[in-house]
Order: sequence, then structure tokens, then C-alpha cells
Amino acid sequence: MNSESNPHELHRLFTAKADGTITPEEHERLNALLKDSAEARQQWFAFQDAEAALLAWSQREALRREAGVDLAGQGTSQPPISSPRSRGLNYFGALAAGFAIGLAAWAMWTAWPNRTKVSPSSSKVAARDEATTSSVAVLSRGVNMEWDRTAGAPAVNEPLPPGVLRLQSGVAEIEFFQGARLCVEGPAEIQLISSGEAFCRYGRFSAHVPPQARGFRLGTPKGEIVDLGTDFGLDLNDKSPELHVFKGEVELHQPQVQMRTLTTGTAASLEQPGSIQPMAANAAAFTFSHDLDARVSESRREAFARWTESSARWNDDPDLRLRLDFQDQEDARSLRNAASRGQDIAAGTIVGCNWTQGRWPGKRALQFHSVSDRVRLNLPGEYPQFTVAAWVQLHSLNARQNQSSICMSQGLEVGGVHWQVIHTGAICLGIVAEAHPSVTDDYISPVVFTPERFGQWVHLAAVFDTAGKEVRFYVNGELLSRHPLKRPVLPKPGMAELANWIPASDYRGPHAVRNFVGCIDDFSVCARALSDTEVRQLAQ
Amino acid sequence: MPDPTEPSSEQFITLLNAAHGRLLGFLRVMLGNNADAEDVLQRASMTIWRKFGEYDASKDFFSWASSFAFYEAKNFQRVAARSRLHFDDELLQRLAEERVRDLDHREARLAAMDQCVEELQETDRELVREFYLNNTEVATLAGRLGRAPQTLYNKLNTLRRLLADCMKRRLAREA
Repeated sequence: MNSESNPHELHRLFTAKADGTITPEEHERLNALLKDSAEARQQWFAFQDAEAALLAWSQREALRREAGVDLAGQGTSQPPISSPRSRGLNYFGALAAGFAIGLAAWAMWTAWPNRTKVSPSSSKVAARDEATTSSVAVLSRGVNMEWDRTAGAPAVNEPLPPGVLRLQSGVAEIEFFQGARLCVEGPAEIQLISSGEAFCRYGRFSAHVPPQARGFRLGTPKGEIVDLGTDFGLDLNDKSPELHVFKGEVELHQPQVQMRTLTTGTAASLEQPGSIQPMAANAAAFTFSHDLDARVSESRREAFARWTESSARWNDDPDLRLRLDFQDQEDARSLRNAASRGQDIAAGTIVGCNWTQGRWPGKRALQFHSVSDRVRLNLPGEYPQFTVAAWVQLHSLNARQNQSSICMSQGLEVGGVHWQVIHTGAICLGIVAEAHPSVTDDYISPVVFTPERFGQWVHLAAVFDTAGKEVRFYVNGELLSRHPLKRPVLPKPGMAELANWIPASDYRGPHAVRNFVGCIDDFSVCARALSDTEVRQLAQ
Repeated sequence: MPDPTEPSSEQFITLLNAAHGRLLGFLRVMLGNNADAEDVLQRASMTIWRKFGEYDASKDFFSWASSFAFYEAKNFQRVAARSRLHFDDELLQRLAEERVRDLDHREARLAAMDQCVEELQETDRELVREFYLNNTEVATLAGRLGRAPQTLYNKLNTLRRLLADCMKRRLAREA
């Protein structure tokens, strides 16, 4: 075998191996060179230590720069115990992640900027840069909204980026980040420009502009309105578009004419730019904005009634094993299993948590906030196929935490089911396939939870479909992604926790934090792979 | 008075933390990169914790724990390695055996390298820092710096060679 090599070739092979760019031929050569030469092995060891030193130095540098922390004392001979770009996501490493950041590392950990790099499976996830949002407003409320989906169909509480929205019917209320509140009656088209400006092409609009939002600008095809702190209505549907000032003062800027100022109780036609003909403001044309409260309440009542009805049907599904509807008594400490065929599955036990309102008034939910909050469950038996589904409202993702549990089996026993949100905002379904040492088959969806989704109620479902040999993820009833089954494993969830995780009942060391921060108001485990249609129905 | 035969989690964490760097260094030479080594060490820690009751406190913790790390590495290559390219079993065995003794040099190497990297020009240091912090994703880095990926990669590897030579010189001087 040709074991002649020069230091240049060796170093090139070393770096290619370390960086994952090595070809099969090169790898074979490297394997042979290392096998044949003790000198080459010694250089390989030195190379790996050099790499470790450079990584540790880079991390300390970044820390020094970003956090302004002088780590000189922690210097040379002691590289960080936990690499901030550790790929410690995989929960087979969950325990160890806890150890790795344990004790000695805690001091550093608290000082580390949010850089932990995690790449589940082979996906490379960008380093944790600061989150950004381009939103300028939020869809705060709405009744019977029908959107032109080609321009986007936002949900209530969804942050809105600049862009055009077309409301075909119904009423939508948009709150601009700068403070102005705009009520829109469909059919209408509005283009959001910034947190203090929008352009209305057609439709009826009613604006409330508090003092903080003074200067709010609303463009129309017939001129621009600058609000000086008022309530006003804008009707662009009529042949002669009109502006009505209910309270306060607005400026009306139109091409080629002098700016007009309108005050409380006056109105102007936008069609006759020159004319100064104050009209009596007609609030009746804008009732849609005044009875919004009542209509929103009514529509919430209806939605709750529909849920109650479909909920009862779902409880009777023959394959449903566990159904937590969270409609337990005020200050209950357990969650009743409402599944008619779930007699062998006991009620969930609440640890910590606060009761709060769910998706609508009357709908109850649990709020999970602290690291102790959880619901203990026991799901005995085997689940060759299953669907897990939940309505969740995620409030945030902790940047120092790799995973947030939705529902996770305790520990890392074979068959354990780990349904979680990973720090990138993607959903992961993991099934423990081997124990001691443990290996988990992870299925990871595209990103679901961007900061824009925090605070919104989202329906999540994951289907483990052995017959179809795949895992499917759904968001709000729509198929998000499908993943071929990595190998046949028999899921056995056993002892599990909603919104949290522990390594074992008798475990005494520190362990990785996995708690979910947000609310859950509906949770199901079904021993069947639901179809696309079934999941859609569940999410309605 | 705690039962001395009872494994204590504090004792475990202290020992594991103390051995962390060497265990990682041990795994790196078998797996070839830091990310895989960290993955495997995290998994191995779980096994080591489970077996901790069997640990004889009069023996060296690293030697005891490294055997679990070794088997975890082999297992990792079998089922979870991202690349199919890995060293054969015979080489792994040899690397593991020799590396245990070799780790005595690790601290000196790390210290030498820390000095070498400080000798680089600021722009080169910047490149090194960005490269190691961004998980060696040259394409991304090149995009951000507006340079051709291959040119950048070549530049980096030249720097790595220079640094390796510098480290070797320093160690030879000290020896």
C-alpha cells in the first residue's frame, strides 16, 4: 500500500475530513495513511486539538465582542465545556445537554449570547441571529371575514407585514403598531405601507386615531387624509367617495387644491376637490364599526357552540384513546379523559400551571409558563399507528432551550414518543428506536413558529402512519410535510408529559429544560393514522 | 451522612465536567469533527449516568467513561452518521488506544494554538472566527463576505496550515 504522503496532502485530507468535504477516494486514502503510520496518527491527533483550540478561541472572541465580557481568565487551557454551536438538539442527548451545560458551564452559559447552533438530522440551521419582523400591524378582530386568498388570508391576532389585503366580505379590525385602529368593511382593498400609513383603494373604513398615533396617513385614489387625532369614516364605495369626521380634526390633501381641514361633525366629498361644502357627518353609514363588539362576541359564541358539538362527535371515535378538552372545573387539578373508548387511560394530573381562557370565552385552557408546569399522563400499550393533535398557543421559544415539549414520553425508552417544537420553530416527532445507548428517529417539519405566530391559536397534528410508511405534519388542518418512515418501530408512549419532560421519575441530576411556554386548550391521542380530510375536520 | 455506595449526581456531574474536554478530544479523532463528537458525547453521557453505579471511584473516571464513548461512537457511525464515510473498525480501535495516552499533550496544544491565533492579522483572525462560529459553512460565509467560496476556503485552509505549523514550532520550543 502506498503510504507515502507529504504533510501538505495529510493536512488537506484532515481538513476535508473535518469539514465533511472529503470524497470516498480521499477517505479511503486517509484511512490507509492513518492505519499505516503512527506519525500520521499523531499528526491527526494534533490537528484535532488544533481545531478544538480554534473553535474555543472563536467562541471566546465572539463572546468578548458581543457580550463585552472579558474571559481572559478562563483562557487557554480550558475551552468551553459546552460548545455554543453544539448540535445538542437531539433529545437522545437531552440528558447530556443538561450535563453539558451543568455546573461549571452554567456560569458561561448565562453569559453566552444566543448562538447555540442546532441541526437536527442533517439539516443545517442558521445560527441564532436576532429575530426580526417586518410586521406593521395586527389583525386584532374580525367577523365573517372572507379574504381574497391570492393576496393573503390573515387570521385573527396575526401580525401583518406591508402589502395588499383584499377583504371580500365581513369586517376586519386592523391595529397599526403606531396605535391607529382601522375597521374595514368588505368588499375592500387596503395596502399597508408602514405602522403609520396605509392606502385604501375601495371599501368602507372607520378609523380611531389616539393621540399617540397623530399623523396617521390614509391614502385614497382621490387624495390623502392626515389624521390629527380623531375618529373618522371613509366611504370609497359610493359614486361620490366621502370623508366623515366624527370627532377631532383631519387634514384632507388633494391634488391641485388647497389642503382642507375637517373638524367634528363635518364631512366632505372627495369627488369635488375644490368645493368646501361641509356636510353633516353620517355615522349610520359606518355602523359596521360600532356594532363590531357585539358581532365579535356573537361570532365567538357561535364558534364555541360549533366546537362543543363537533367535540362530542370526536369523543366517540372508536380509535380515540385520550381526549383532553380542558373543560374541567374551575381550579381542577386533573384533566378528565373525555374519549368514550379511553377507559384504560386515566385523567391527566396537573402540576403547576394556571387555568385561563382558551380560544373563545367559555373555552378553558391551561397556561404553561414555568419549568415546573406540566400535565402528567400515562398512555399504556402499543400504538402501531397514531395521530396526536392539539390546539396550542405558543407564547415564545427560549433561545437557550433546544426543544419545547408538546407531549413527550418520559425518559428515552424504546418506543418513546417525543412531540415537540424545536428552537427553530419547526415541529419534531421523534420515536426512540434504540436504548442504551439511545437512538431516536427524528422527523422534523419545516418551520411553523416564527415570532409572528407567537400568541396565535394554532392547530397542530402529527400522524405516524405505519401502513403508509410515513410521518405527516399538519398545521391548521393543512398538510405541512411528509417524511418516509426511517425504520419500523413500535411506539409505546407510556408515562408522558404534556408541555414538559423529565428523564426518569428517579433521576436526580440536572437535565435539559424542555418546557413549553404558552397555552393548550385541546389535546387528543388517536390510535389511528388520520387522513388529510379527518385532520382538516378536526382543525375546524 | 450520605451513603458512600450510593452514586451521587453531584459527584457524577463534577467528574463528567472535568473529563468533558478530554472525552470530546477522544471522540473527535474517531469521528473527525466537533459536531458529531458532541452528539456522541451527549448520548454517551446518558449511558455513563446509567452505569455510574458501577463506577469504582478509586479508578480513573476518564478511562472508565471513554469505553462507553468508544462504543457510542461505533454505534453512531452504524446508525446515525450523516456521512457514510467513516474509519474502519481496526483504525478506530487503534486511534482510541493511542489517543488515551496522546491526550496528555492536549492542553499544551490548546495553549500553543491560542498564542498562534493571536499572531494572525486582524482580517485573518476575523475569517477564522467566522468560519468556526458558523459551523464551517463556507458557502454562507462567502456569500456574506461577497467572495467566491472556493477562494475563501483555500484561504482558510492556508491559514489552518500556518496555524498548525506555528503550533508545532511552539510545542517543539517548549519541549
